[in-house]
Amino acid sequence: MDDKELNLWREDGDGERAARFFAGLEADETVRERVRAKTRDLTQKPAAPRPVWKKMPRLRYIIAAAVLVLVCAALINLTRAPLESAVSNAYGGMAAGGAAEAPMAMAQADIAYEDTAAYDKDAGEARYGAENVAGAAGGGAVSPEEAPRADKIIYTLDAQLRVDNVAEAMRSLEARARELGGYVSGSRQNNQDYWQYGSLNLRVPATEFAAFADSLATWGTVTDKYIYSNDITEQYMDADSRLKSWQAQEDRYLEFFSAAETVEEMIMIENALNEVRREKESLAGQLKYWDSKLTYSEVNLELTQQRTDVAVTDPWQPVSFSRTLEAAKNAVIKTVSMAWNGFNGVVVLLGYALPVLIILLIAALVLRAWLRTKKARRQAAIAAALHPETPAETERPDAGADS
Amino acid sequence: MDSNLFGQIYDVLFPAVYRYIRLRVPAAETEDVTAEAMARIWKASGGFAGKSSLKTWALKITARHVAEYYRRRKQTTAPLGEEPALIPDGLNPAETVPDSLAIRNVFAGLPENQVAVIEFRLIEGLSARETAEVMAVTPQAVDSLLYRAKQNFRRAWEQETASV
Repeated sequence: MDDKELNLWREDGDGERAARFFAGLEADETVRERVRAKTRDLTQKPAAPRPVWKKMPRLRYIIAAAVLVLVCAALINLTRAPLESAVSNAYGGMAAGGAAEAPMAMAQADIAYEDTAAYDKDAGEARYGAENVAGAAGGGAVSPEEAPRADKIIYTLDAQLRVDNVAEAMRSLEARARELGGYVSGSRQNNQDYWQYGSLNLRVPATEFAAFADSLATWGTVTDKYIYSNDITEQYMDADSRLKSWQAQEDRYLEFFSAAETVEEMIMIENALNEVRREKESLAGQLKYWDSKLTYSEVNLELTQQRTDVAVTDPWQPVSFSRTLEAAKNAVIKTVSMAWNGFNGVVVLLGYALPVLIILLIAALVLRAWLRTKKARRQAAIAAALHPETPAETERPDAGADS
Repeated sequence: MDSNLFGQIYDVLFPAVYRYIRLRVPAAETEDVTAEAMARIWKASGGFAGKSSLKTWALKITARHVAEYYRRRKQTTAPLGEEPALIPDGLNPAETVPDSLAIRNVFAGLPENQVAVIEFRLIEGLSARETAEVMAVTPQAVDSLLYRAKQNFRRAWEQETASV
């Protein structure tokens, strides 16, 4: 208190009076201790809630196992996704008739498809049967053999077959079509690691259509068969009669043309002739197209081949007792393979994560050291403020442990 | 909690903190508010960097706490008869001599910032710079305030003693 202003207070005793006033505000020992107790109460930190994994020690193992399984599953899915996608597409194409709408893993899809096959096959035949009945009753479509000659009906067959060997089956079907007097209008074959798929567009003589449709089972299991017909009798007759009419018209114009005397007459008749010929050619083309369709029925086949490496894909549903052992063997192979893939996935994941983990660890250590230094400095500052005469370093060796 | 360090900090800071609060908070709540302020100081002690003296730093926290106390009180209805007691009743009975009553009346007539500057500079022994830090003004303003406080105190004191 060596300031000029403070000296003023001292000189006339006002400083001492002010001190007396503030001395009257001092707390006695009882108050001091009471407030100390209250302060202690307020500074007691409420016990931090124990983490769940400490309350339930087993929970950490469960969580770790769940994470491991999830990682493995994710890795397996990642590696299998492209393959399954390809297979799904194949199924999607085949399932146009509604056989397998949502292909799952290949194993399940196989079985599911097999289950629906019987239904679809029956359904196909039922539809075919219905058509026969309807045809016999005089309305709608009938089979080519039963249709009256005058009827113009186009038959089409869409079928799906599961065969042992797609390539061989395709070759055989093509040969059969040629043997019957037909031809191959389109063919596609797709070979995947676990899947083979073929698509065949055949044209067989209408007279052989029914026999060919009935013989499909020779090449494999018919999983879907759909025969449909389009009766174009009326349109065909109409076009045919119009063609004849235009033909007659052309003949008359030709007569007029021969009898024409002036150039103007000849030009006029020639224009009319051109118009008639255009109409005639259009109708002739349409009739030719129909004739082709009527002569050669369309057969669209989709062939799939089962996996050869794992014949029984769903071990829980062995198709027969003779294949139960095979299913069990495949189940063991699958489980071992899945576990091994999962382990590999975890190792690879650790490999990816290791650099990041090392960086995080170093950062955590640096941060911890920095925080400790900062805290120690602060505590030393408090200690120095409390005891200015004592070196700060010796004040509180356990600075980082409390508060 | 480090009991030893807590005890040291409490013993050093309690008188100043209690005085500050006793002068500004109704008597019934002085102890609670002091305990809250001391707890706040203890919890903040980890962040004490030694840039100012411990007392300056603690009084800044205390001043902030009292300001918050009144902010909280404003939000609720203040009970009648419990208005801020800058000059509290119930002084030490030993002080109830005529001089003490006169001093009390003198302080009651001073503006709050002049009482504060007397408290910090004369009683707590803070420098002008430290007082300025606590009061959030400049050191020059502190000197000026102290000078005016002295003039007002002297004038009021002379009036009090003349009337006696």
